Amino acid sequence: MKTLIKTFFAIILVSVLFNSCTNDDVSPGGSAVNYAKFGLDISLSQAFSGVDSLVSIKVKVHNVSTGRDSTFTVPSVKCLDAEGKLQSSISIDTLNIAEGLYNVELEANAVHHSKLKTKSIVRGNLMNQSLVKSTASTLPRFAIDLFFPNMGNGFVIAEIFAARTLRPSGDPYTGDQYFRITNNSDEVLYADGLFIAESAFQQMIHQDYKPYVLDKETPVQYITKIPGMHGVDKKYPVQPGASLIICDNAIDHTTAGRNPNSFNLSKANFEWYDESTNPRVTDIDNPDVPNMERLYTYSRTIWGPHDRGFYSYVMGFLGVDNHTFTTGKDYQYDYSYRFVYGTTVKDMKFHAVKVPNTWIVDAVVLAIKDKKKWNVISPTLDNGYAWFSTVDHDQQRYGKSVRRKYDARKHKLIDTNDSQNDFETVKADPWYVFK
Amino acid sequence: MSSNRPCRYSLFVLLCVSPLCGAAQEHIQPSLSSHSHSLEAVRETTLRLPSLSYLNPSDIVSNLNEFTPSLSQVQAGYRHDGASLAVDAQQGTGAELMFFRVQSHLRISKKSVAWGEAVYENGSRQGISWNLNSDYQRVFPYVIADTATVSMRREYYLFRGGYAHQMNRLSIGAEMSYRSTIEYRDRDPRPKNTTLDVQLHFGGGYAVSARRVVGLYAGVGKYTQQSDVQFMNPQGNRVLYHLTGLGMQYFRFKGLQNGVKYEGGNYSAGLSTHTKDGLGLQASTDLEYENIQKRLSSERDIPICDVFQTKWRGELSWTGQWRQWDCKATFSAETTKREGQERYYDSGLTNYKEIASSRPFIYQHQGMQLSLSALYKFTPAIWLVMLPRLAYDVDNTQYLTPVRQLKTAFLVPSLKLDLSRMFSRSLLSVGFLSHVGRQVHHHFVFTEPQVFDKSVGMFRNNAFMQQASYWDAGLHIRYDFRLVRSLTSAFMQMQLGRRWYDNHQHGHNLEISMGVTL
Repeated sequence: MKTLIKTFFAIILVSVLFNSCTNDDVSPGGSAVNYAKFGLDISLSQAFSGVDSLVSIKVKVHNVSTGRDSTFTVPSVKCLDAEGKLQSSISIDTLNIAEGLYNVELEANAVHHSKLKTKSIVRGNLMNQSLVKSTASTLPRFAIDLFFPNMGNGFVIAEIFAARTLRPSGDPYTGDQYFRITNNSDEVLYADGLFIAESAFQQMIHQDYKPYVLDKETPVQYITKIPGMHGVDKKYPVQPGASLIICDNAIDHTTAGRNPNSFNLSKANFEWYDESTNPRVTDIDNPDVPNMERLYTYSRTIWGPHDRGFYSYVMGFLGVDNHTFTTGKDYQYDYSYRFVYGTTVKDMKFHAVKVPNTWIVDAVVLAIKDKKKWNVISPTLDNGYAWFSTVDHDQQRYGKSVRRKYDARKHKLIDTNDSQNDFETVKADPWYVFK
Repeated sequence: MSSNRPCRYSLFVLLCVSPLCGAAQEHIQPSLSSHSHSLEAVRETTLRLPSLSYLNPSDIVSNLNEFTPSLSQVQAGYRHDGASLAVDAQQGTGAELMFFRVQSHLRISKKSVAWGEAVYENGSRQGISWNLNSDYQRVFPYVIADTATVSMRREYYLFRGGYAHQMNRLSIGAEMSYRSTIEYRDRDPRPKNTTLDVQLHFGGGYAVSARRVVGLYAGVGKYTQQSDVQFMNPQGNRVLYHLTGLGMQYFRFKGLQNGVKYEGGNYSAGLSTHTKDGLGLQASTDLEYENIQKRLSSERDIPICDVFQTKWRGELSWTGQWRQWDCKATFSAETTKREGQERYYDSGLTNYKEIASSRPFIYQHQGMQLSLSALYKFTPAIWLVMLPRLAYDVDNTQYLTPVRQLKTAFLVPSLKLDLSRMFSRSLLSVGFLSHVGRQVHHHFVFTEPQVFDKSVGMFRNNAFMQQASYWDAGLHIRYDFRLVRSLTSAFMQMQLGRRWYDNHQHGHNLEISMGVTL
């Protein structure tokens, strides 16, 4: 009995010792991380009918959970089949990647059939894709829709100041928010009829809104425009490289009783003025500065851009007159999403207006840093995002704006249609001189 | 005549005092006085029990044979430890606290024993970086972190009690413990952590012969921690990170997710054999499993991470007596494996749905130790305990993608000497302890630091310290003295130590306490 007990415990101890001697060196791709294999395709619309091939295809796969990026490059793919017809879908690679939630971004150069056309940048964007190991017998495939980004040479949004400033007492000050619009072309452009709008959807509330219209139209909850009609009136010329300041209250905010930390906006070109339905909350109107024409608002009092940077902003020219836009059914957008919580199910309904994407000349998506959750406007308008908040309710955001970067060599503002690339977070200054 | 009186008085005083002087100089030979007899229980508990007994905290019925004299002790004191650079920045550089401790073991009868402990600590932990949670050893690597290095106020409570009873050949026992910690800060960032740990151990033994008992024991426990971080400063920035091991973070939930909850439990089971008289072969082996889950209470309570830990422990010892020597040779080994699991969710459009999970984090520890305890009784009054020891410890922490690893192996010889001198009304114990930790292997890999570069410096410092060889020395002095008849003794105790690293860093610790034994 004694021998048996001694033997038993000796065996236990020896097995513990052997366990101590295992090789613990790192083996990459160990079984503790599951990998999913999938095929990546690109989808080509008829807009690519003049494109022979795509070259220098850079793909970035961003893991939403861990923040890791995996990038790879495909040298080239042919867009035409053996018969010379445009392929609607082309396989570019098979990926073996750790399971998780991913955003996929693609950028390539399109080689046109016509020798008169130089290579064009094309992009693709796929957000919130769940990549998990598949038990199906065929390889799962995901397709990215490619598009030509809207990189026009006309008016661009040069700066957005939405965060407000802080009084010396530490309290936020309201009324000094502004947009700076710049003529990024080499010719005189006319700002008559130029609209600025705030998106109806915001980054922090991601819902499955129906009907889905973002491919063709952008829902907005506030839209205001410079008086006049684009292509008809020429009252507001803007020289090449010159800017317009469109602000909330076009006054000197640094005077006594206001906020010495703010700006003097009395020389702004335009101000947006809201007729409030609440006599206790009214807007300020500087009679020396022209007012914008408000076409639609969700607010019953006064509007200002969201001061934490949740919404996106688009700029463009109406393709119809004011009356047609504000009353026409084609521009009204009734939408809803289904709210589900436990056994409670309810359709939440909303109303906004929408502008066709073809009217939009520039757009900037704003989000909290590293918190862009979904495309609130079409990625063809802006493939990235700019930020002035590092976290929600960021106490350090006051006085900061997003400003477009300047290419000193070309003497132009940078516009690649990707705000993450084009914008930087800076101390707000409406009269900043680009150099 | 008058000159003779002072002389006579002096002679009289001298004659009266001399017995007292003789008593003060009295050596206890060969038998102990009645006062010393009561101090014997103190010496047994503080000297013999830690070095020569089979006492196994998990094997409940082992208490039956080891708690021979009854003793209760009430102690209050102050403890401070610190370091020039933290060995693990997430656990801080040290702590400073006051403590109050009551311990008791009572031999109720020949066949039953009861024991209990109550502890209260109040103080602070200092120099903590990249960790705003408590009980780091239970919840790592999944902690909330901020970039600031902080101190945290701390209150700690422990209540533990147990009972064991022998019925003929069968013996049974049970022990329950309740441990609670509150940690907080009163400046930004302001974590407030509340932990609760309840453990239940029970066991049984069967006397297979007149001397030998074979035992079976098991334990179960539940652990929770609630943690909430607030920022009051209107100018403060508030980015909180949820770390996932070796410099990685749960990127998706960084920012304002300031409320977390940890919940989990542990189970253990073991086998043992020991002798009733404590001589001869003793052995035990046990296995413990623990699982703790981290939930974001500020984000619909979704579970984002889990830890799964398995720990094996085995010990083989032999105790014998030879002349004035009591000897014990022990070989023990332990292996711990801790896996971390991350859960991934979809876009959260209609509540979060889990789509995948992975286990990229692994922590492993293996340790082996060979020790020899020897108690030599020069005289009944003078005891010497020598405890040479040789340990080999391997620690390995890995994160799979990106590839990161910190692995160290140390050979640690040590020597402890305790000298105890019994006087007629007092007991003096002096101890000296020294370790030499020689690093025999290290491996540090840290790829893709750009994924989350803010915490890289902290991990490089951790590697710098954990790979360093060291030498430490410690001194322990305890003086017990008979004060009043109702008390066994009153005592004063001091422990101090210092560690030197070969990278020119150092650490120190100091504990001063006093109390009474009953």
